[in-house]
Amino acid sequence: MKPFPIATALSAIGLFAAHWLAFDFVPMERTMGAVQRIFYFHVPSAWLCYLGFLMCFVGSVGYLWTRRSRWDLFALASAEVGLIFGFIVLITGPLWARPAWGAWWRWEPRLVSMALMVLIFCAYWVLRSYGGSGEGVKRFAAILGVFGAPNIVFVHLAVRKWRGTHPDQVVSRSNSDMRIALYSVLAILLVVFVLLVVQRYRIHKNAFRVRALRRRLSRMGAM
Amino acid sequence: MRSSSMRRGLAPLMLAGAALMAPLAVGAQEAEAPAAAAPATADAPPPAAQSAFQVSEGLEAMRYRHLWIAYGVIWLFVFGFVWRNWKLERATSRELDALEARIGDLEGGAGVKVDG
Repeated sequence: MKPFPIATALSAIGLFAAHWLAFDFVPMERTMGAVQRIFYFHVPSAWLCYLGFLMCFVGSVGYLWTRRSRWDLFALASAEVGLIFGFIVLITGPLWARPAWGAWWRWEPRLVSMALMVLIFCAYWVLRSYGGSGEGVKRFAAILGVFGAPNIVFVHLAVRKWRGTHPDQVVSRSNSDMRIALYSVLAILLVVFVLLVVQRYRIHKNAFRVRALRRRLSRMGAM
Repeated sequence: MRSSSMRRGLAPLMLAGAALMAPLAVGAQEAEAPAAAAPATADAPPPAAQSAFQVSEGLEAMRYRHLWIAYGVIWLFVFGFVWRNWKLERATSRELDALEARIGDLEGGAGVKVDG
């Protein structure tokens, strides 16, 4: 039995369950109404974005230390999946903010630091996609990954340190059903996240092998 | 060749950019929407019987609209990414198999192994 298709099928079922939790299981929030239900995907997406960038940091350090390609591929796959969740956060955030705060965007610490962090990893992704596959590009991208990831600390502490409009400590003070739903959706999205990282890793590994075989063919004079 | 692959590669970035612009497009419609609904008071007289259905233009309608758009964007990103990955994985596996077979033929049937 192959574990990947089974996990994919289970995560698809899990995503349906996550929607039931977010739309039916949890009670309606009194102040914000229906739009508060964005919370059940917005917050786990932010945490998974942090996780992706943290894994990119680990992979980048591993690559700079050992120069082994598998660390580099791991960093790249993690950054890409982290970026997808980062985009989800940056799009669902303003859609929630407009009815809740009366504004799409506020130049306050949490929002700005999050946007900057996502932009840093956008630069990482553009570099990896269009910079070629040379050793120098990998090394420069790894350095970008190492310096980009510590921003997670700034993003996370921004609300407590500099007090903005963005709420903090909401989860621990919420209704228990809301907490159950949040952590359940987080667990389901974590499975999806892991599957996506594994899939991206496999794609990059195959692409790496294709490049190696092409070089071998050209040395043999067949290309 | 390179420019067409670059265009293909830029497609997800352009999609992400377009999705980031979605709130602006919605915002253009909602520029005149009220910031908050008027609160109901306990001693207010009961509303008269409704004689016709009316379109809701207030905050509540905006809340639902934004909720659906947000979940639509989430699904666009997740499914778009999964679909793209699936296509890429199939293409690279196929290319890998073809290259391995070609090298195998050139080397007289010897197995091919490339370490990752």
